[in-house]
Amino acid sequence: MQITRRQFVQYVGAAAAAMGLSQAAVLKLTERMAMGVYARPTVIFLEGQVCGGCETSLLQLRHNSHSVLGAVGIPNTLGTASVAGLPAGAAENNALDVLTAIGYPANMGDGGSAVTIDDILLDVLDVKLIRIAGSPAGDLYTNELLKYCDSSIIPAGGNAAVTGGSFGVLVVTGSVPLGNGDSKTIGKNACISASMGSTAYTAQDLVAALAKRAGAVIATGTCASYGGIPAAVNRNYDAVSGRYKYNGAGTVDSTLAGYTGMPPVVKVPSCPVNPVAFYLTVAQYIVDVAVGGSLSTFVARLTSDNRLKAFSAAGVTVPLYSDAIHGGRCPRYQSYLSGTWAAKFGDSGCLYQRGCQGPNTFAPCAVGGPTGGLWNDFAGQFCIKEGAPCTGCASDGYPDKFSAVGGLNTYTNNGY
Amino acid sequence: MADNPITGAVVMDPVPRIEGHLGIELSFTGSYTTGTSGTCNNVNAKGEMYRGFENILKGHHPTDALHITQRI
Repeated sequence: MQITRRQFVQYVGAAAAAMGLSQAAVLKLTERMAMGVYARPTVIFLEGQVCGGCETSLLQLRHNSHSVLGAVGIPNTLGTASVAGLPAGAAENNALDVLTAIGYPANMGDGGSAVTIDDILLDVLDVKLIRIAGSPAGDLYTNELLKYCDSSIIPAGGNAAVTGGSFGVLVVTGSVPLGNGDSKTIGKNACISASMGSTAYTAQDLVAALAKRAGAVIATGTCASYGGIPAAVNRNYDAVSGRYKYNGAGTVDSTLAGYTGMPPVVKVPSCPVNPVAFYLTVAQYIVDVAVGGSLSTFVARLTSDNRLKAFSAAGVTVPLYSDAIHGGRCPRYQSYLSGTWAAKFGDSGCLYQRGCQGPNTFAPCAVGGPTGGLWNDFAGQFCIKEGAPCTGCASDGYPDKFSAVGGLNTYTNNGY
Repeated sequence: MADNPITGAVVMDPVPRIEGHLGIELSFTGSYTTGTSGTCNNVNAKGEMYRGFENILKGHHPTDALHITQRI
Protein backbone atom coordinates (compact mmCIF):
# COMPACT_ATOMS: atom_id res chain seq x y z
CA MET A 1 0.00 0.00 0.00
CA GLN A 2 1.39 3.38 -0.98
CA ILE A 3 1.10 5.95 1.77
CA THR A 4 2.63 9.33 2.29
CA ARG A 5 5.18 9.96 4.99
CA ARG A 6 2.68 12.08 6.90
CA GLN A 7 0.09 9.30 6.79
CA PHE A 8 2.74 6.85 7.88
CA VAL A 9 3.66 8.92 10.89
CA GLN A 10 0.01 9.39 11.76
CA TYR A 11 -0.71 5.68 11.57
CA VAL A 12 2.29 4.69 13.59
CA GLY A 13 1.66 7.30 16.23
CA ALA A 14 -2.03 6.70 16.57
CA ALA A 15 -1.69 2.94 16.62
CA ALA A 16 1.09 3.10 19.16
CA ALA A 17 -1.07 5.37 21.28
CA ALA A 18 -3.93 2.92 20.96
CA MET A 19 -1.59 0.26 22.27
CA GLY A 20 -0.98 2.30 25.38
CA LEU A 21 2.33 3.94 24.59
CA SER A 22 3.02 7.42 25.90
CA GLN A 23 3.70 10.29 23.55
CA ALA A 24 7.40 9.92 24.27
CA ALA A 25 7.26 6.31 23.17
CA VAL A 26 5.17 7.29 20.15
CA LEU A 27 7.79 9.79 19.06
CA LYS A 28 10.57 7.30 19.69
CA LEU A 29 8.84 4.63 17.64
CA THR A 30 7.91 7.08 14.91
CA GLU A 31 11.43 8.38 14.71
CA ARG A 32 12.90 4.93 14.40
CA MET A 33 10.31 3.81 11.91
CA ALA A 34 10.92 6.88 9.76
CA MET A 35 14.61 6.01 9.81
CA GLY A 36 13.74 2.70 8.29
CA VAL A 37 14.94 0.72 11.31
CA TYR A 38 11.61 -0.90 11.91
CA ALA A 39 10.12 -3.37 9.50
CA ARG A 40 6.55 -4.43 10.10
CA PRO A 41 6.60 -8.00 11.38
CA THR A 42 4.78 -10.43 9.13
CA VAL A 43 2.04 -12.06 11.15
CA ILE A 44 0.07 -15.22 10.40
CA PHE A 45 -2.97 -16.26 12.37
CA LEU A 46 -3.72 -19.97 12.57
CA GLU A 47 -6.75 -21.53 14.17
CA GLY A 48 -6.72 -24.80 16.04
CA GLN A 49 -9.74 -25.98 18.02
CA VAL A 50 -11.35 -22.59 18.36
CA CYS A 51 -14.77 -21.25 19.18
CA GLY A 52 -13.99 -18.02 17.36
CA GLY A 53 -14.07 -16.00 20.55
CA CYS A 54 -10.38 -15.10 20.56
CA GLU A 55 -10.32 -13.81 16.99
CA THR A 56 -13.53 -11.92 17.59
CA SER A 57 -12.07 -10.41 20.73
CA LEU A 58 -8.88 -9.39 18.91
CA LEU A 59 -10.84 -7.81 16.09
CA GLN A 60 -12.85 -5.78 18.57
CA LEU A 61 -9.86 -3.58 19.32
CA ARG A 62 -10.97 -0.05 18.78
CA HIS A 63 -9.17 2.96 20.03
CA ASN A 64 -11.08 4.03 23.09
CA SER A 65 -9.27 6.69 25.04
CA HIS A 66 -11.55 6.13 27.99
CA SER A 67 -10.14 2.71 28.59
CA VAL A 68 -7.05 1.84 26.57
CA LEU A 69 -5.14 4.94 27.53
CA GLY A 70 -6.84 4.91 30.89
CA ALA A 71 -5.26 1.53 31.44
CA VAL A 72 -1.84 3.12 31.48
CA GLY A 73 -3.00 5.96 33.65
CA ILE A 74 -3.82 8.61 31.07
CA PRO A 75 -7.14 10.16 32.03
CA ASN A 76 -9.85 10.68 29.47
CA THR A 77 -10.93 14.10 30.64
CA LEU A 78 -9.36 17.35 29.57
CA GLY A 79 -7.92 17.84 33.03
CA THR A 80 -4.23 18.20 33.67
CA ALA A 81 -3.77 15.88 36.59
CA SER A 82 -0.25 14.55 36.73
CA VAL A 83 0.21 10.84 36.44
CA ALA A 84 2.91 8.90 38.22
CA GLY A 85 5.35 7.32 35.84
CA LEU A 86 4.66 9.69 32.97
CA PRO A 87 6.65 12.82 32.11
CA ALA A 88 5.22 16.07 33.41
CA GLY A 89 3.12 18.20 31.10
CA ALA A 90 -0.45 18.29 29.91
CA ALA A 91 0.28 16.70 26.56
CA GLU A 92 1.40 13.46 28.13
CA ASN A 93 -1.42 13.46 30.60
CA ASN A 94 -4.31 13.72 28.23
CA ALA A 95 -5.36 11.13 25.73
CA LEU A 96 -6.86 13.59 23.29
CA ASP A 97 -3.84 15.86 23.52
CA VAL A 98 -1.57 12.97 22.68
CA LEU A 99 -3.64 12.03 19.69
CA THR A 100 -4.24 15.51 18.33
CA ALA A 101 -0.54 16.26 18.74
CA ILE A 102 0.20 13.58 16.18
CA GLY A 103 -2.42 14.85 13.78
CA TYR A 104 -5.49 12.84 14.56
CA PRO A 105 -8.89 14.52 14.85
CA ALA A 106 -10.19 14.88 18.36
CA ASN A 107 -13.23 12.72 17.71
CA MET A 108 -11.29 9.50 17.18
CA GLY A 109 -12.70 6.64 19.13
CA ASP A 110 -16.19 8.02 18.68
CA GLY A 111 -16.66 6.73 15.15
CA GLY A 112 -15.66 8.60 12.03
CA SER A 113 -11.92 8.47 11.74
CA ALA A 114 -11.29 6.26 14.74
CA VAL A 115 -8.21 4.08 14.80
CA THR A 116 -9.58 0.62 14.34
CA ILE A 117 -8.19 -2.85 14.02
CA ASP A 118 -7.50 -2.49 10.30
CA ASP A 119 -4.95 0.23 11.00
CA ILE A 120 -3.10 -2.12 13.29
CA LEU A 121 -3.43 -5.21 11.12
CA LEU A 122 -2.22 -3.47 7.98
CA ASP A 123 -0.02 -0.59 9.09
CA VAL A 124 1.62 -1.64 12.33
CA LEU A 125 1.70 -5.33 11.58
CA ASP A 126 1.83 -7.03 8.22
CA VAL A 127 -0.90 -9.63 8.59
CA LYS A 128 -0.74 -12.10 5.74
CA LEU A 129 -3.44 -14.53 6.75
CA ILE A 130 -6.29 -14.33 9.22
CA ARG A 131 -8.92 -16.79 8.15
CA ILE A 132 -11.85 -15.42 10.10
CA ALA A 133 -11.47 -11.97 8.53
CA GLY A 134 -9.72 -12.68 5.24
CA SER A 135 -11.14 -13.49 1.85
CA PRO A 136 -8.95 -16.35 0.52
CA ALA A 137 -10.75 -19.69 0.69
CA GLY A 138 -9.96 -23.27 -0.08
CA ASP A 139 -6.86 -23.84 -2.20
CA LEU A 140 -6.10 -20.12 -2.33
CA TYR A 141 -5.86 -19.96 1.44
CA THR A 142 -3.93 -23.20 1.78
CA ASN A 143 -1.52 -22.28 -0.97
CA GLU A 144 -0.68 -19.01 0.77
CA LEU A 145 -0.34 -20.76 4.11
CA LEU A 146 2.05 -23.38 2.70
CA LYS A 147 4.40 -20.65 1.53
CA TYR A 148 5.34 -20.06 5.14
CA CYS A 149 5.56 -23.70 6.17
CA ASP A 150 8.82 -25.46 6.79
CA SER A 151 9.15 -28.12 4.13
CA SER A 152 10.88 -30.55 6.49
CA ILE A 153 7.64 -30.85 8.46
CA ILE A 154 5.07 -30.48 5.70
CA PRO A 155 6.45 -31.85 2.45
CA ALA A 156 6.12 -29.48 -0.45
CA GLY A 157 4.58 -32.14 -2.67
CA GLY A 158 3.65 -30.76 -6.04
CA ASN A 159 3.17 -27.26 -4.72
CA ALA A 160 5.77 -25.07 -6.37
CA ALA A 161 4.65 -22.11 -4.27
CA VAL A 162 6.32 -23.48 -1.14
CA THR A 163 9.21 -21.14 -0.56
CA GLY A 164 10.10 -21.81 3.05
CA GLY A 165 10.61 -18.13 3.82
CA SER A 166 10.90 -16.99 7.41
CA PHE A 167 8.50 -14.50 8.92
CA GLY A 168 7.81 -12.59 12.13
CA VAL A 169 5.08 -13.88 14.40
CA LEU A 170 2.82 -16.92 14.33
CA VAL A 171 -0.38 -16.35 16.27
CA VAL A 172 -2.13 -19.58 17.24
CA THR A 173 -5.65 -19.56 18.63
CA GLY A 174 -7.34 -22.67 19.92
CA SER A 175 -5.93 -25.89 21.24
CA VAL A 176 -4.06 -28.33 19.04
CA PRO A 177 -5.11 -31.98 19.11
CA LEU A 178 -2.05 -34.19 19.09
CA GLY A 179 -0.96 -37.63 18.08
CA ASN A 180 -2.30 -40.30 15.81
CA GLY A 181 -5.14 -41.31 18.08
CA ASP A 182 -5.71 -44.46 20.07
CA SER A 183 -8.52 -46.24 21.80
CA LYS A 184 -9.37 -43.17 23.87
CA THR A 185 -8.38 -40.19 21.77
CA ILE A 186 -9.01 -39.08 18.22
CA GLY A 187 -5.68 -37.31 17.87
CA LYS A 188 -4.58 -34.72 15.37
CA ASN A 189 -7.35 -35.51 12.90
CA ALA A 190 -9.77 -33.83 15.32
CA CYS A 191 -8.73 -30.55 13.75
CA ILE A 192 -8.09 -30.01 10.04
CA SER A 193 -7.02 -26.41 9.55
CA ALA A 194 -6.50 -26.37 5.79
CA SER A 195 -6.79 -28.59 2.74
CA MET A 196 -5.29 -28.68 -0.70
CA GLY A 197 -7.29 -30.84 -3.03
CA SER A 198 -7.59 -34.17 -1.29
CA THR A 199 -4.67 -33.46 1.07
CA ALA A 200 -5.75 -32.38 4.55
CA TYR A 201 -3.37 -30.51 6.83
CA THR A 202 -3.92 -30.95 10.53
CA ALA A 203 -3.50 -28.15 13.03
CA GLN A 204 -0.66 -30.08 14.65
CA ASP A 205 1.38 -30.27 11.45
CA LEU A 206 0.64 -26.69 10.47
CA VAL A 207 1.54 -25.23 13.86
CA ALA A 208 4.87 -27.06 13.86
CA ALA A 209 5.65 -26.25 10.23
CA LEU A 210 4.79 -22.56 10.59
CA ALA A 211 6.48 -22.16 13.98
CA LYS A 212 9.73 -23.51 12.56
CA ARG A 213 9.90 -20.46 10.29
CA ALA A 214 8.56 -17.88 12.77
CA GLY A 215 10.53 -15.44 14.92
CA ALA A 216 8.13 -15.97 17.81
CA VAL A 217 4.90 -17.83 18.46
CA ILE A 218 2.09 -16.23 20.42
CA ALA A 219 -0.27 -18.77 21.96
CA THR A 220 -3.38 -16.66 22.09
CA GLY A 221 -6.13 -17.48 24.55
CA THR A 222 -6.37 -20.19 27.18
CA CYS A 223 -6.90 -23.04 24.69
CA ALA A 224 -3.65 -22.39 22.83
CA SER A 225 -1.81 -21.69 26.09
CA TYR A 226 -3.08 -24.47 28.34
CA GLY A 227 -5.62 -26.55 26.45
CA GLY A 228 -8.63 -24.78 27.87
CA ILE A 229 -12.15 -26.02 27.26
CA PRO A 230 -11.30 -28.64 24.59
CA ALA A 231 -8.84 -30.21 27.05
CA ALA A 232 -11.46 -30.50 29.79
CA VAL A 233 -11.82 -33.95 31.26
CA ASN A 234 -14.00 -36.26 29.21
CA ARG A 235 -15.77 -38.44 31.73
CA ASN A 236 -17.96 -40.02 29.12
CA TYR A 237 -15.53 -42.42 27.49
CA ASP A 238 -17.18 -45.74 26.97
CA ALA A 239 -14.49 -48.40 27.38
CA VAL A 240 -16.78 -51.18 26.23
CA SER A 241 -17.90 -49.77 22.92
CA GLY A 242 -14.91 -47.47 22.43
CA ARG A 243 -17.26 -44.59 21.68
CA TYR A 244 -17.15 -40.97 22.81
CA LYS A 245 -13.45 -40.53 22.33
CA TYR A 246 -11.62 -37.61 23.82
CA ASN A 247 -10.51 -35.13 21.17
CA GLY A 248 -6.85 -35.15 22.20
CA ALA A 249 -6.45 -31.41 22.75
CA GLY A 250 -2.93 -30.25 23.51
CA THR A 251 -1.22 -26.88 23.74
CA VAL A 252 1.12 -25.02 21.42
CA ASP A 253 3.93 -25.83 23.83
CA SER A 254 3.28 -29.55 23.67
CA THR A 255 2.93 -29.38 19.88
CA LEU A 256 6.44 -27.98 19.54
CA ALA A 257 7.97 -30.09 22.33
CA GLY A 258 9.26 -32.79 20.00
CA TYR A 259 11.16 -30.44 17.72
CA THR A 260 14.45 -28.66 18.02
CA GLY A 261 15.19 -25.09 16.96
CA MET A 262 11.70 -23.79 17.65
CA PRO A 263 11.13 -20.11 18.55
CA PRO A 264 9.92 -19.01 22.00
CA VAL A 265 6.22 -19.47 22.70
CA VAL A 266 4.60 -16.51 24.44
CA LYS A 267 1.31 -17.17 26.16
CA VAL A 268 -1.51 -14.65 26.33
CA PRO A 269 -4.18 -16.58 28.20
CA SER A 270 -7.75 -15.78 29.22
CA CYS A 271 -10.97 -16.87 27.64
CA PRO A 272 -11.40 -15.13 25.30
CA VAL A 273 -8.06 -13.41 24.95
CA ASN A 274 -7.87 -9.85 26.20
CA PRO A 275 -7.26 -7.78 23.04
CA VAL A 276 -5.19 -5.11 24.76
CA ALA A 277 -3.02 -7.68 26.53
CA PHE A 278 -2.45 -9.32 23.15
CA TYR A 279 -1.55 -6.13 21.32
CA LEU A 280 0.66 -4.97 24.17
CA THR A 281 2.51 -8.26 23.86
CA VAL A 282 2.89 -7.65 20.14
CA ALA A 283 3.94 -4.05 20.81
CA GLN A 284 6.59 -5.31 23.21
CA TYR A 285 7.82 -7.64 20.47
CA ILE A 286 8.04 -4.69 18.07
CA VAL A 287 9.88 -2.52 20.59
CA ASP A 288 12.32 -5.25 21.60
CA VAL A 289 12.80 -7.26 18.43
CA ALA A 290 11.65 -5.29 15.39
CA VAL A 291 13.07 -1.99 16.69
CA GLY A 292 15.59 -3.09 19.29
CA GLY A 293 16.76 -6.16 17.42
CA SER A 294 17.09 -8.32 20.53
CA LEU A 295 14.96 -11.40 21.01
CA SER A 296 16.67 -12.15 24.33
CA THR A 297 15.48 -8.79 25.73
CA PHE A 298 11.94 -9.80 24.85
CA VAL A 299 12.28 -13.29 26.32
CA ALA A 300 13.75 -11.87 29.55
CA ARG A 301 10.45 -10.07 30.15
CA LEU A 302 8.48 -13.30 30.37
CA THR A 303 7.36 -15.17 33.46
CA SER A 304 8.59 -18.69 34.15
CA ASP A 305 5.71 -20.05 32.10
CA ASN A 306 6.25 -17.57 29.26
CA ARG A 307 3.67 -14.89 29.87
CA LEU A 308 4.61 -11.24 29.53
CA LYS A 309 5.07 -9.86 33.06
CA ALA A 310 4.48 -6.27 32.05
CA PHE A 311 4.54 -4.11 28.99
CA SER A 312 7.38 -1.65 29.32
CA ALA A 313 8.56 1.04 26.92
CA ALA A 314 9.79 4.60 27.30
CA GLY A 315 9.12 4.73 31.02
CA VAL A 316 5.56 3.41 30.76
CA THR A 317 4.83 0.15 32.49
CA VAL A 318 1.56 -1.74 32.21
CA PRO A 319 1.44 -4.76 34.52
CA LEU A 320 0.04 -7.77 32.68
CA TYR A 321 0.50 -11.30 33.98
CA SER A 322 2.68 -10.56 37.00
CA ASP A 323 -0.06 -9.98 39.56
CA ALA A 324 -3.16 -11.83 40.69
CA ILE A 325 -6.54 -10.26 40.02
CA HIS A 326 -7.11 -10.37 43.77
CA GLY A 327 -5.47 -7.31 45.28
CA GLY A 328 -5.60 -3.56 45.36
CA ARG A 329 -6.87 -3.26 41.78
CA CYS A 330 -9.96 -5.39 42.36
CA PRO A 331 -13.00 -3.11 42.78
CA ARG A 332 -14.25 -5.37 45.59
CA TYR A 333 -10.95 -5.65 47.45
CA GLN A 334 -12.06 -3.30 50.22
CA SER A 335 -14.99 -5.61 50.91
CA TYR A 336 -12.54 -8.48 51.20
CA LEU A 337 -10.43 -6.56 53.70
CA SER A 338 -13.44 -5.63 55.78
CA GLY A 339 -14.96 -9.10 55.55
CA THR A 340 -18.10 -8.02 53.70
CA TRP A 341 -19.11 -11.10 51.72
CA ALA A 342 -21.69 -11.44 48.98
CA ALA A 343 -24.13 -14.01 50.36
CA LYS A 344 -25.72 -14.58 46.96
CA PHE A 345 -25.21 -13.42 43.40
CA GLY A 346 -26.33 -9.84 42.99
CA ASP A 347 -25.11 -8.79 46.42
CA SER A 348 -22.43 -6.20 46.87
CA GLY A 349 -19.34 -7.32 48.72
CA CYS A 350 -16.48 -9.64 48.03
CA LEU A 351 -17.32 -12.62 45.84
CA TYR A 352 -14.78 -14.95 47.45
CA GLN A 353 -17.46 -17.07 49.09
CA ARG A 354 -19.28 -17.25 45.75
CA GLY A 355 -16.33 -19.12 44.30
CA CYS A 356 -14.22 -16.21 43.07
CA GLN A 357 -10.87 -17.42 41.73
CA GLY A 358 -9.23 -13.99 41.78
CA PRO A 359 -6.57 -15.03 44.32
CA ASN A 360 -5.49 -17.95 42.10
CA THR A 361 -5.64 -16.14 38.77
CA PHE A 362 -2.79 -14.09 37.37
CA ALA A 363 -4.24 -11.90 34.63
CA PRO A 364 -4.52 -8.19 33.82
CA CYS A 365 -8.34 -8.02 34.01
CA ALA A 366 -8.37 -5.48 36.86
CA VAL A 367 -5.50 -3.36 35.53
CA GLY A 368 -6.67 0.17 34.90
CA GLY A 369 -8.63 0.53 38.09
CA PRO A 370 -12.19 1.70 38.52
CA THR A 371 -12.23 4.17 35.62
CA GLY A 372 -10.36 2.23 33.02
CA GLY A 373 -9.45 -1.29 32.19
CA LEU A 374 -7.89 -3.46 29.59
CA TRP A 375 -11.20 -4.83 28.41
CA ASN A 376 -11.40 -1.69 26.38
CA ASP A 377 -14.65 -1.97 24.52
CA PHE A 378 -16.53 -2.45 27.73
CA ALA A 379 -15.22 0.66 29.42
CA GLY A 380 -13.14 -1.31 31.86
CA GLN A 381 -15.81 -3.84 32.73
CA PHE A 382 -14.80 -7.32 33.65
CA CYS A 383 -16.36 -10.27 35.44
CA ILE A 384 -15.88 -9.17 39.04
CA LYS A 385 -16.96 -5.63 38.32
CA GLU A 386 -20.14 -7.02 36.78
CA GLY A 387 -20.82 -9.05 39.91
CA ALA A 388 -19.69 -12.40 38.57
CA PRO A 389 -16.95 -14.23 40.43
CA CYS A 390 -13.71 -14.84 38.56
CA THR A 391 -13.79 -18.30 37.01
CA GLY A 392 -10.03 -18.55 36.62
CA CYS A 393 -10.20 -18.66 32.84
CA ALA A 394 -6.61 -17.42 32.43
CA SER A 395 -5.14 -20.26 34.49
CA ASP A 396 -3.57 -23.54 33.57
CA GLY A 397 -6.14 -26.23 34.28
CA TYR A 398 -9.22 -24.22 33.43
CA PRO A 399 -12.02 -25.35 33.50
CA ASP A 400 -11.52 -28.63 35.43
CA LYS A 401 -9.29 -27.16 38.13
CA PHE A 402 -12.09 -24.77 38.99
CA SER A 403 -14.92 -27.21 38.58
CA ALA A 404 -17.48 -27.76 41.30
CA VAL A 405 -16.64 -31.47 41.14
CA GLY A 406 -13.21 -32.10 42.56
CA GLY A 407 -12.04 -28.57 41.81
CA LEU A 408 -11.69 -25.30 43.63
CA ASN A 409 -15.11 -23.93 42.85
CA THR A 410 -17.08 -23.35 46.01
CA TYR A 411 -20.53 -22.62 44.60
CA THR A 412 -21.84 -25.94 45.86
CA ASN A 413 -20.29 -25.43 49.27
CA ASN A 414 -22.05 -22.15 49.81
CA GLY A 415 -25.67 -22.75 49.01
CA TYR A 416 -25.44 -23.20 45.26
CA MET B 1 -12.90 -20.69 -18.29
CA ALA B 2 -14.74 -22.50 -21.03
CA ASP B 3 -11.59 -24.46 -21.73
CA ASN B 4 -11.26 -25.59 -18.16
CA PRO B 5 -13.75 -28.38 -17.50
CA ILE B 6 -14.37 -29.41 -13.92
CA THR B 7 -14.30 -33.11 -13.34
CA GLY B 8 -14.62 -35.31 -10.31
CA ALA B 9 -14.73 -33.36 -7.07
CA VAL B 10 -14.46 -29.70 -6.16
CA VAL B 11 -13.23 -28.98 -2.64
CA MET B 12 -13.36 -25.64 -0.88
CA ASP B 13 -11.73 -26.06 2.47
CA PRO B 14 -11.42 -23.99 4.58
CA VAL B 15 -14.30 -21.58 4.14
CA PRO B 16 -13.20 -18.20 5.50
CA ARG B 17 -15.10 -15.49 7.36
CA ILE B 18 -17.01 -17.90 9.52
CA GLU B 19 -16.36 -19.13 13.02
CA GLY B 20 -15.04 -22.67 13.09
CA HIS B 21 -13.71 -24.98 10.42
CA LEU B 22 -15.97 -25.67 7.45
CA GLY B 23 -15.21 -27.47 4.21
CA ILE B 24 -17.47 -27.89 1.18
CA GLU B 25 -17.07 -30.77 -1.22
CA LEU B 26 -18.97 -31.17 -4.49
CA SER B 27 -18.76 -34.21 -6.68
CA PHE B 28 -19.76 -34.48 -10.32
CA THR B 29 -20.70 -37.23 -12.64
CA GLY B 30 -18.90 -36.80 -15.93
CA SER B 31 -17.54 -33.33 -16.44
CA TYR B 32 -18.97 -29.87 -16.29
CA THR B 33 -17.86 -27.15 -18.65
CA THR B 34 -19.14 -23.60 -18.42
CA GLY B 35 -21.86 -23.07 -20.98
CA THR B 36 -22.90 -26.68 -21.17
CA SER B 37 -25.12 -28.67 -18.91
CA GLY B 38 -23.59 -30.82 -16.22
CA THR B 39 -24.64 -32.77 -13.19
CA CYS B 40 -23.57 -32.30 -9.61
CA ASN B 41 -24.64 -35.43 -7.83
CA ASN B 42 -23.44 -34.83 -4.30
CA VAL B 43 -22.53 -31.99 -1.96
CA ASN B 44 -21.06 -32.44 1.48
CA ALA B 45 -20.50 -29.80 4.11
CA LYS B 46 -17.83 -30.95 6.54
CA GLY B 47 -17.14 -29.74 10.02
CA GLU B 48 -13.36 -30.16 10.18
CA MET B 49 -13.03 -29.93 13.92
CA TYR B 50 -14.19 -32.06 16.81
CA ARG B 51 -14.14 -31.03 20.43
CA GLY B 52 -16.98 -33.10 21.87
CA PHE B 53 -18.81 -30.71 24.16
CA GLU B 54 -21.44 -33.31 24.98
CA ASN B 55 -18.77 -35.69 26.21
CA ILE B 56 -16.97 -32.98 28.14
CA LEU B 57 -20.14 -31.93 29.95
CA LYS B 58 -21.09 -35.37 31.17
CA GLY B 59 -19.75 -35.83 34.67
CA HIS B 60 -19.28 -32.15 35.34
CA HIS B 61 -21.33 -30.19 37.83
CA PRO B 62 -24.32 -28.38 36.26
CA THR B 63 -22.84 -24.98 37.08
CA ASP B 64 -19.79 -25.87 34.96
CA ALA B 65 -22.04 -26.00 31.92
CA LEU B 66 -22.50 -22.27 32.30
CA HIS B 67 -18.83 -21.68 31.54
CA ILE B 68 -18.19 -24.54 29.16
CA THR B 69 -21.11 -24.12 26.77
CA GLN B 70 -20.34 -20.43 26.35
CA ARG B 71 -17.34 -21.51 24.34
CA ILE B 72 -19.12 -23.61 21.72
